[in-house]
Amino acid sequence: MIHDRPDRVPDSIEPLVGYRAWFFTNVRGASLRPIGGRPFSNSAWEGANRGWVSAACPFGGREKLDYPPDSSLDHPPHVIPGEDCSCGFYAMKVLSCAQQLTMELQCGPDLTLGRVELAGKVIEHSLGYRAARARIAALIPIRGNERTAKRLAESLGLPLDPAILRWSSPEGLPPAA
Amino acid sequence: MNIGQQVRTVYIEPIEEPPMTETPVRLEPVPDLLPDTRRQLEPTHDS
Repeated sequence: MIHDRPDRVPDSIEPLVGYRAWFFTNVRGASLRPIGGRPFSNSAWEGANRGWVSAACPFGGREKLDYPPDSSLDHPPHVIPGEDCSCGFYAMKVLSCAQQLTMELQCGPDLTLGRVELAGKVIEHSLGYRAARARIAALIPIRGNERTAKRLAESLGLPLDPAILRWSSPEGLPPAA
Repeated sequence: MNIGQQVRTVYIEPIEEPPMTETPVRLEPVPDLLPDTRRQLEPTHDS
């Protein structure tokens, strides 16, 4: 049964798969921080390496609504992720888009890619997803950064997908390995 | 993170395999209490 929609049959029993990047620290315990997040704030991805985690919303989003939302409010309560909000766990549909993001950010050695699974209410966008629940399925090392990725994956108890090449061209995919 | 325009909303409810709660235990063989039918069918010399 769907928590926030008990009257609705799930569209799928298989989680959606997406790809994304995080900044990471591996000094006093490994942790992943979303790109654009505040440097020292708690990450919503904390614990997503061990199982499902739920998104939070600072603008009135909830996991479920027990009453009709009051539309007169600036930020009416809504189910996460809200269609009129920006809340939820973000992921790209294809790995190359996440790779491109790392290039646009001129990523340093403290950035890692990963494969994630998404569930609950999920809003599909043209390039990616916003989801109520997420978990990390694997980390994806960037070629030349495998040793760091392996250490991080071991700290987080996650498997490693095959390494990919660093995105080098905005016009096309990286050259085939 | 720019993920483009909204397309649709879906609801995903993954079915998880139940986690292992205990280590498997080897079962002891249970003695068969049924009578040995072959022995019963053997002819007796009493009659």
